[in-house]
Amino acid sequence: MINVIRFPDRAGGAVPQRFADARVALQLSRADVARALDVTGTTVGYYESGDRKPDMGIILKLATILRQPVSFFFHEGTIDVSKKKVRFFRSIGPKSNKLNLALDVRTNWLWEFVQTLLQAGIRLPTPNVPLFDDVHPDGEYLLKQIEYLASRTRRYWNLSDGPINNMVALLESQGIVVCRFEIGSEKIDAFSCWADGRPYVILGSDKSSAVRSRFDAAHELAHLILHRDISEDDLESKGVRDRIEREANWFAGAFLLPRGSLFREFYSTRANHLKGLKQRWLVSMQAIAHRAKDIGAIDENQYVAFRIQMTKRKELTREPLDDVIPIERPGLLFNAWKKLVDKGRLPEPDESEWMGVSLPVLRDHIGGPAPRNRAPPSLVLVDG
Amino acid sequence: MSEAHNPAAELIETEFPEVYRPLVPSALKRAYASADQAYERLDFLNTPSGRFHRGDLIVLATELEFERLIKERHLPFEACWDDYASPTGKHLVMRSPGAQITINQVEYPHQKPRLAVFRKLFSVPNTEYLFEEWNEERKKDDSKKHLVLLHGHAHLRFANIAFPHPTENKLIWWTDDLLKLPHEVAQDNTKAKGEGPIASPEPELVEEVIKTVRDTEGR
Repeated sequence: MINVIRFPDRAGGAVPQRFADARVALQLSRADVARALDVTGTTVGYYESGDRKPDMGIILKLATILRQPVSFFFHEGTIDVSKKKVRFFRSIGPKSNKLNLALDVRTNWLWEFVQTLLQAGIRLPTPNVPLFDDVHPDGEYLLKQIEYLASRTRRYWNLSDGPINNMVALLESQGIVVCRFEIGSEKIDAFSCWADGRPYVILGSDKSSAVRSRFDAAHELAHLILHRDISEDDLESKGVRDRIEREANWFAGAFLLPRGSLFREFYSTRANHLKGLKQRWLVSMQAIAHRAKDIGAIDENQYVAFRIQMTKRKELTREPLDDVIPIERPGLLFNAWKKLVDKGRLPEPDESEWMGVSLPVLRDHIGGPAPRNRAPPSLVLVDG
Repeated sequence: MSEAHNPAAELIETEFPEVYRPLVPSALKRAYASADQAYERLDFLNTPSGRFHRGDLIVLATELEFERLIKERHLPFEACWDDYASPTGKHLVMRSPGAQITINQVEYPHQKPRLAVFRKLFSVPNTEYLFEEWNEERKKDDSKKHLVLLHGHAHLRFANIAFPHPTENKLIWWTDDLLKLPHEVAQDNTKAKGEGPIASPEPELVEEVIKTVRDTEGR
């Protein structure tokens, strides 16, 4: 028998959960992976449960299929994940839903990344999300209660009633970890969670409209403030999800466009006026008109007329100024990571990975400029 | 030289303070826009006779806007719907502690609105009386004085708060044009007037924090 090159049996050190995480993050089924590996789905199940150890050849294939560096599967993780308590706010379906599971895994990775930064000696801003326990919703919040809480949140952060310069930077300055990556679904624009006492907001990079993404950020802030008492089980109910989404939208509108300010500045649904307001407040024309309806500055008929006008102009999905206003990018984690790398506290990334994290995932975590990502050297035949 | 005493200006200043006036232009603009949109929506207004009622619709829409501002507590008044002297209709009266303010559409900025009975009852002259006891009596009079919020005309060219003369067809004193208060959002001057940070925070190394604390303690 010809003895082909065999890799040493390092596979014994692979962490089974990592196989499952990498698969779930890509929203693949076991059958998908099994087909690509040319094994059965049950075998993949064994790999993920640890009942069977894949050899190094399989792990190399898995690394390609699951788009992870090989070291990812051996990364034990020095973090005590059991200590983490996560509470998610997202708008769609049951938590067993494929997309939700994928987002859970990716949030887990983000959390691990933050722990790595903290353990390497960085100090992130202390979480400073207000807790208002003197306003009690009777089943659900009223708009006026939400107006009040949005206004108090502004005061809590020493803001008056003007436009917010940079929603992402504001959240980061208050100790909220903000991350932007491709969520890969039209149904979910952003989500948030509390993990280990720190709030996280994840914004989709799928949206090209900066102002809508700012609204998403304010919407997630609403969940962090208003819905601390909502459990993961509560979110299984569509009624609860619809309610908290409605409340979060009210809060986002009230936070970004305080009632008094809008009454002072809004007077027409004419496109030119709304465009001016959009540029000043960095809120979409549709959100401004909706907010004007919520506070009674315009009635339902005027709002409908505005929507018809936008539809005729084909501006519902892409509004004026959407191509001009720049997307707000998170920078806190990048700044932290770069400082630690510059000080030699953390290694620099190599060609394909950084501490068991693939470069695309690292890029998702830190946003900002892409880390070093040279193409791997390749061999070519030369005449000679 | 000391400034001349002007009870009318003082009354307006007290009863409709400047801080609330920026709400006026937007409210009036919304009202005019609402009236125009009614014409777009309702066919029966788009008749030769219907077109003559635009002013009436503006009056109604304006009253609604101000009632809303009061209900929302943006304006510190009490909103009352009072009868006209002959009970042919009602109109909005905004009551402040010392005045009742009506909203009137007029053709020119400094035009006194047409005669109304309540205007006669609640107006006062702006000059001092010859006899001090009369002045004292007037000071003691705690009945609400009448002020008017004037606006007009077809395309909303002006708005001011005025003190009408009790008997003559003129105003005693009026504010500057409220439409000139800053309220319009111009697209070219709206940058960088916001609040909060403009860039992500720069986190510190724990050792830097400790060093800073030690340095501070050492001082």
